[in-house]
Amino acid sequence: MSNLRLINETTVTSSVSNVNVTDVFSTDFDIYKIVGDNFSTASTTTTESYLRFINSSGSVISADYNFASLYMPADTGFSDIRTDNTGDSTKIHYASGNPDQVPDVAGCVLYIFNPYSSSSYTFNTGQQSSHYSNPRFLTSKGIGVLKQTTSISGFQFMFPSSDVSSGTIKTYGLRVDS
Amino acid sequence: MSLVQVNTATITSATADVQLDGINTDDVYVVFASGVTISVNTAYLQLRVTKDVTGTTTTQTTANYDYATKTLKANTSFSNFSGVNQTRKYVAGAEPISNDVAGENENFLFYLYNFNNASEYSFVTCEEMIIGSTSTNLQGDIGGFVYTVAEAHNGFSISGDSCTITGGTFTLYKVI
Repeated sequence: MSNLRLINETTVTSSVSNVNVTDVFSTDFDIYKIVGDNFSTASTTTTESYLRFINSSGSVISADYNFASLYMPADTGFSDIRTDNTGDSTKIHYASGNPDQVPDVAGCVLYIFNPYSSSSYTFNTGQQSSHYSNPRFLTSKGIGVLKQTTSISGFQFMFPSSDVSSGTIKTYGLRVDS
Repeated sequence: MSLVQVNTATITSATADVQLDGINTDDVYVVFASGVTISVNTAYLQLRVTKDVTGTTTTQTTANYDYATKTLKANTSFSNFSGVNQTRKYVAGAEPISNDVAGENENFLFYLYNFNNASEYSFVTCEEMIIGSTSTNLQGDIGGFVYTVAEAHNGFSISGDSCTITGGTFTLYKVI
């Protein structure tokens, strides 16, 4: 039996600007795998996607994030996307790449470390792949941290520029047998 | 993808070298480490392979490590971190690690390739997250390293340089 245990599957079935996945982190696991798939927008306007965490009271945390992501578009030069050159510590860039209208879709794999612990920051690593605003193919790979020791029980994918109308997020816990 | 646990170590007291052995097939393996702490603020962590030497798992320290990574940094431009014929691969571009603020720790994900094959080199890909002490900011390498000795390796080693490992959970899985 795999030590990766499916905890939650959330599917987007209507147009939304945020997808909240709540009550998935617990004392059962220290490390989680998140797989995002088939995100697309309702309109022809593309959108970024960002990651934020949700505390055990159900509130979305909007401060104290650091991130560093290598942004790799197919049609132009690569760039560093990081906290100090975006002036943004309100979220982690990126969550699932940049979705656009079908057939331009986006997906990702993320790992989250120690979210539920109240004595540790919450770290993440991940990579994204998407195609948007034809002909741009974009991949990114990066790391992030929430520099709070708040206990985290869930997360949010933000789509600030355009609603998404499709997409699936699967959350797995990585079991350690002592 | 399935992950089947092979070995785990939970560190609660000073440990010089955390060895995760048990690799005995030609499958890909992966190491996860979470909540890693070290005994000395501004010290380093280093990565190596292990080998079964007459029944004893032994960390390999000869100068046969080649590495090439991009060091991601939240507070400044990313940099290249590379070397050949080194005695280890340092974590996070050899950045001193900050461990003196509540909440700070290190977290890692390493995929291991060809370790069981005695006629090929052993390869590793890295994803690392630390808080750097000179910047107190997020930092980590993406990339990989190789140990250029064609022999079988039975596991993976994470150890301190000028420090010990004082905490963390380290787990080796087989990827099926």
